[in-house]
Amino acid sequence: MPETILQTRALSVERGRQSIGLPDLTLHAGGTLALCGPSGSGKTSLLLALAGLVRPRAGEVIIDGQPLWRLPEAGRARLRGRAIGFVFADYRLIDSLSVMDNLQIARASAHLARDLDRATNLLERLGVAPLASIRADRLSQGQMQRVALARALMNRPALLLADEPTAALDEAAGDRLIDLLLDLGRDEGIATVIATHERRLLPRLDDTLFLALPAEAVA
Amino acid sequence: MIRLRFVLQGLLRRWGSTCLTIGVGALSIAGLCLIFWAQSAIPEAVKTRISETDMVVGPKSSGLDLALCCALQMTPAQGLLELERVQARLAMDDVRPFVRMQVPVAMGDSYRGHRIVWTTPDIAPFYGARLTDGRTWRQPLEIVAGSEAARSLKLKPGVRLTSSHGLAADGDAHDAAYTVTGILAPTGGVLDHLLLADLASIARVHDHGGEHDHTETAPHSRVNAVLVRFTSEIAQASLPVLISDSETLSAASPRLELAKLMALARPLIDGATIVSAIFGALAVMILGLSLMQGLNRRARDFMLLRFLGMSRRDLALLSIGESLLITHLALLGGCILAVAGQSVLAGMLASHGLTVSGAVPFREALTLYSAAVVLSVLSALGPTLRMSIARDDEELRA
Repeated sequence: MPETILQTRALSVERGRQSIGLPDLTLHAGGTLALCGPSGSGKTSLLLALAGLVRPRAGEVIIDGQPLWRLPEAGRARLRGRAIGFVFADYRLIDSLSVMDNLQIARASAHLARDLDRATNLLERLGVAPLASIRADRLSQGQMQRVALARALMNRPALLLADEPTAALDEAAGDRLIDLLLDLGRDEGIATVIATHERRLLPRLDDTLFLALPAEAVA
Repeated sequence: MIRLRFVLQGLLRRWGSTCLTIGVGALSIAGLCLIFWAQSAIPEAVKTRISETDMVVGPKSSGLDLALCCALQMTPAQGLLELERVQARLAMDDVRPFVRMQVPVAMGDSYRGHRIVWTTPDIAPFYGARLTDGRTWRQPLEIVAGSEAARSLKLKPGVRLTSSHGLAADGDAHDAAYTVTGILAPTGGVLDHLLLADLASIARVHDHGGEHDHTETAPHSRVNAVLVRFTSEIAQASLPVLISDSETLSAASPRLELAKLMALARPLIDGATIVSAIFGALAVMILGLSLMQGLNRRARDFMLLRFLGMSRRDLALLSIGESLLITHLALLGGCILAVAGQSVLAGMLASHGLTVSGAVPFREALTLYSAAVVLSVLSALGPTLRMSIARDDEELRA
């Protein structure tokens, strides 16, 4: 039986004046979960609650056996840094730093020592190793998203949260990125939650618990 | 290291305000350092120079003139008086009990910027000086050099030198030559900078057959002043007043005169302190604004660091670290400016024969450093508070 990475119990989060309820979820290592819904349906709010950044209205989130919202702020930050990777729609690289520094700052933020081998390995697997010393603002959109994915995986997270990861890419590039993301997730036994409004991506998520979130209901 | 690089990149992105903060901060720190230094080092240097002279008796002039000219040896001599007249006054019953030592001095010539003082051999015990090389003068045109004068002029016994008229290095040269007979050990006082010769040398040097106008020097019966050491401190206040009652003599306590001068300079020092403090306050305000500007410009980066595992406390520390980095750069710049200013000021004072040394007093330096660090942390409070109340989801969606 694979290790349980993510569990939610009676979770509901706030989105504006609405409260979004969620059925109890369980996600094992290597498993994937799609959160599918239109813009404004609360996908990002839910991801932020799972990341320990926005307090849910009710319920509990358990990550790697630790009740996230019972931890103090510093404890949540520590757990987030070491156990959760995050991929954004707009990459969120630090423009003024090099690709390598963008990866290493993930280590530093989680109070972990530099790991050049891990960074080099990830950049090679994602096909952007030659760009290691290039400043982030000189990369193409596709390269930026690959570097952002490498950064999310840098600390060997147990859980990967991706918020519309293909939103800024064309269809082919988006498909390649999802392939990479799922491959790496399976290889490293990472539980992956992807928030997307692109229904075409859903069939690509094998062994996926399909979850769509319209404005007020849970599928 | 990567955190430091993140902070440095942030500072470079807003280099204008960063440079302004460092510049204004450095000016403030340099100003305050110089004031602290001058407040402690200059009075100390002056005190050392006049510590042996309790009273100067000279012709009618202001007490400050007498002190600056004859005790500190900083300004030109003002006039002459009969030595016998002064000695007679000092021998009177109301004064004599208080006089432990007295020594006449006459000035007016120099050698390469070092003042020649015509006096008697009593001047060495008066200042507690002893010879480190050679012997004292036994006849006119023999000269004994103070330690600093000997060092800078490369003098040693046997060297001959020709003095010039006045105190400037380029004054008219005299025909008669002096021979160096001895070098004094350092005293830390005024004597170190002087060249000493017998009073009788005045006539030998200035025997030009009347073609040379020499207003400051005179035959050895006339001198510029008599320096006096008291038997008791009590005489400091009363004796100068008593002697100055005379129609032809003035007397002054160098210590009291210079204390008056320092009191006059007090408003200037206070003014300079206030200006430096205003610069400091300005630097703190600019620093606070610069940090807030940095936070606004890098809000997305800070938010990212939250996602990557930094707590709000970590971000606050990052902001404080940025503030401390700027402050320490300003401190470094301030120290460099202060040392440069100190060197310029010390050079200016040295050209007047006042050797000022020493650093900013430790207590003041520590106070200045602590205040800079505390203000630096306080100026980071704005961004820190903002980060602590900001909602992560709002920042994310911004």
